[in-house]
Amino acid sequence: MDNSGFNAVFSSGGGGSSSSGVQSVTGLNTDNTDPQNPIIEISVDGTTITGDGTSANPIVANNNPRTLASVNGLNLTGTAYQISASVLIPSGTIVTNNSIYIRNLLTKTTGSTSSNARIYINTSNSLTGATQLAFSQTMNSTNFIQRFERNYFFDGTNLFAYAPTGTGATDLITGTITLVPFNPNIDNYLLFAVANSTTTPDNLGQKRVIVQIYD
Amino acid sequence: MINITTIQNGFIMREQLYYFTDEITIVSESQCDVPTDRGVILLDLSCTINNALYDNINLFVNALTETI
Repeated sequence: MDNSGFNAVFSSGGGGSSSSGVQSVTGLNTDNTDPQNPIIEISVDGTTITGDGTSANPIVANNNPRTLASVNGLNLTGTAYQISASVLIPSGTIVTNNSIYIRNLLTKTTGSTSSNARIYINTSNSLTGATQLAFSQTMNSTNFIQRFERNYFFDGTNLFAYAPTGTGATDLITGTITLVPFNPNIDNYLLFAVANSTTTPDNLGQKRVIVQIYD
Repeated sequence: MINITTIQNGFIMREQLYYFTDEITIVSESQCDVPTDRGVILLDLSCTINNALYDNINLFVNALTETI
């Protein structure tokens, strides 16, 4: 049977067509039993990727940037820095000339004094001995939400960090640079910490932490 | 538990050398920011210094910097 040009159209919803999920697959070789008829096109979530289905021209998705993690942190009370969220960077994930983009949403649901957040990096999932990478804008008794973001460039030896101990929500303006030693060949943890100036009721959290790697 | 070994103008932690670059800042009853040539390191009372455990952050900082 000649299946060349076969185009299967899938629907991901309950009845009727949908623009999300797998929409079509062109070609039938899903198990390497029909090498003369490889899959040459896949459409998923509105994006189509194509290739000849050969080792010389395989189907390759555009993987830049790739999302390393999207996690929801805890809202925490207390005056000492505590981990609201953490993200493992597995050994071998980062290579020379990669950059790491981090975007968080800091939120409090109650509070009477100030709170702030920091980003650390460590070789264990602990703040003890961690190196500070960023410091948020301080959130006072009425400011309960902040977008907190940073970019880090890796040159093969160090992470280029924007003013790690200077307060600021973003790195969109110029600032001082600190070179933070980074070994990509071991596991590293990005640690998203919070602290409040009174024990209760302030309860800052890094509610949505998104970490992306750019080639 | 991490043990910190003090040296002249710095310390050794996890087999890495750190040299002080600025004053240590106490940030809570159990934590301090330690500016070093490898960035600002967060240390706390869970660490021992020269194998001694401290329950006061001021005493902890004094022990950490006694070789400066």
